[in-house]
Amino acid sequence: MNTITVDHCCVRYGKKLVVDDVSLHASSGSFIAVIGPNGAGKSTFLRALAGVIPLASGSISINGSVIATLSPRQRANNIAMVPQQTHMPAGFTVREIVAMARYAFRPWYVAQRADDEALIDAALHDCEMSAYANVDAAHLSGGEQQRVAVARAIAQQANVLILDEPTAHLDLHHQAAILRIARVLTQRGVLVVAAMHDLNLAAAIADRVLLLHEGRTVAQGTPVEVLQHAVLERVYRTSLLCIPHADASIPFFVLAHDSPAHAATT
Amino acid sequence: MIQRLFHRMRHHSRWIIVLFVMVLMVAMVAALSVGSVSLPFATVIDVLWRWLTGMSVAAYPQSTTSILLDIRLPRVLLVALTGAALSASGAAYQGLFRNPLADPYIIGVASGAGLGAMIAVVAGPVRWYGPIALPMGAFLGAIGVVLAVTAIARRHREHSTQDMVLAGVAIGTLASALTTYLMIRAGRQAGQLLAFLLGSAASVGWESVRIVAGSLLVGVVCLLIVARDLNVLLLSEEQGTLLGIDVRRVRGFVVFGATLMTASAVAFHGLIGFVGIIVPHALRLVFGGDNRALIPYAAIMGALFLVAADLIARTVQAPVEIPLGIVTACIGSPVFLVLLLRRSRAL
Repeated sequence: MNTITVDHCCVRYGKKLVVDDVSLHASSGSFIAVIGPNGAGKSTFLRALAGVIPLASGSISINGSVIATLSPRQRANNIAMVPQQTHMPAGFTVREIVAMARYAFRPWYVAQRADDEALIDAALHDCEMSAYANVDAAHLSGGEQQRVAVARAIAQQANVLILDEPTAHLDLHHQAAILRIARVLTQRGVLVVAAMHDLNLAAAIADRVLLLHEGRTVAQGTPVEVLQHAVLERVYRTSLLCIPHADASIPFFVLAHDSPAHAATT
Repeated sequence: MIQRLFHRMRHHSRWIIVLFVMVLMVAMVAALSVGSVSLPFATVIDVLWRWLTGMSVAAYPQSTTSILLDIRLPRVLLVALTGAALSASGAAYQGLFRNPLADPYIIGVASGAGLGAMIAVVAGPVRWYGPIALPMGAFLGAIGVVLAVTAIARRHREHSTQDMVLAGVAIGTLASALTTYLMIRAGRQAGQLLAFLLGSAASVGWESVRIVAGSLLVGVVCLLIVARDLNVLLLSEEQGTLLGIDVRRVRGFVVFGATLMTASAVAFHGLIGFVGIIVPHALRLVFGGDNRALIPYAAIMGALFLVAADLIARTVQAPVEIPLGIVTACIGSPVFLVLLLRRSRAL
């Protein structure tokens, strides 16, 4: 059982407090959706969770070990992250990019082993990228590059997978595919933490939801507990309609007729 | 069509490199036979074979063996080693800075090395400690520039490509200005120092060859140790950290290895521009960006490129010899401009 504990985490950019006193406790096999409006501190929180930016105060630990004290290799063994923006350097095939996930686990003078190759093949297959294995990754579309980045994170075989808006550049088919993969990973015992903008997608897939606003926790709990009509209207500063859904346990939100966005399009 | 050809070449990259090693051998033999006294290929090969295997070369006139083994061989070897050093270090800097324009010459490292070497010549260390003071002075000058450029590039992450090139140009220009000032102050030595600045290999000895070869060996080993991890840094430093790479270690190895090679090449061969940009760029197009292959391939192709450029420098206006830096600039500047006009994508 893998657990991640965020204890009163604060992150500053210069003098500005971007993440303010956020706490979270989660264990393997669950899907945590981090939601909130633009500038809420979602991406910063995820980067802090991944251990790539320092905390101003508080601590983040995985299985009892404070992330800041782990070596890069130990951290990669525990945490994989797909960033919001993926950059694919020119001159590398998709397979070579995904293979980078295995670099840290072999000395520099050892070539890729058969079990590494098998993990890379499986990750490419899961993300429906096997057919592109020998294509230059820099020549792919944004959505395809996003899937390559997800495949690389899967091949890392970490206990915690952090996804920063994983469906941002994807069409509906691939959004569903990536979220299906994330779900399969949770069944294998991986803890998935994902920043999401689509409230309905978050409600449909997450076990728990963390709602952030101006760096602070507004609500935390199951989707039904967190996705409250009045709270969301206040945080997102827009009128929303909560409409009935075929699955009565999931709330479903659309922009209300009197919302500024709706008025602009009509 | 071209992409398909490149893909097939990439598939057979090892054989293609073996072929280029053989071409390099032929080019070196050609470079050994060409000069004010022309020597037949067969003579060059036979004398070299005898010398390498410890057999007597008494069958040949003293003048022939002396021209070949004491004058031309160290010069050709130094040219090849310099090409290898500049090209491999260019490939490494481009990976480290994620910038296809990061040639040791463009980012000012070579100018810093030139200034360091010049200070070592005019201020006395070379007189006091011998030729070894030359690469040491060059290394100190080069490392100062590379640290300054790195600090500037890291300060403005979002504009690092342009900022780094501009910072390199500014720092390199300052280093060149100081070098010129020292040269003017040198008086009678000025002509000799000017030839050095323009990359002339007219008079070199075996000691220079040994120092450059040693630096090349140490530098390439440093780069090969981190070449695989350098691939990950091409994604971004943050991604490198997330994938378990010790970013500071990689940066340290690349800065030390590439700067050592640049400094020793500049110390004994003067400033030679564009080798570090043309060769890695062409190789990346054909063989892809994997630094584990790119760095050794760049060393081999850089040696071939500079030996060929040296042949041109020695033969195009014979018996007058054009400084090698002029030949590489004539080939390199248009290539650089093409890269710039294509708004060359960051690596």
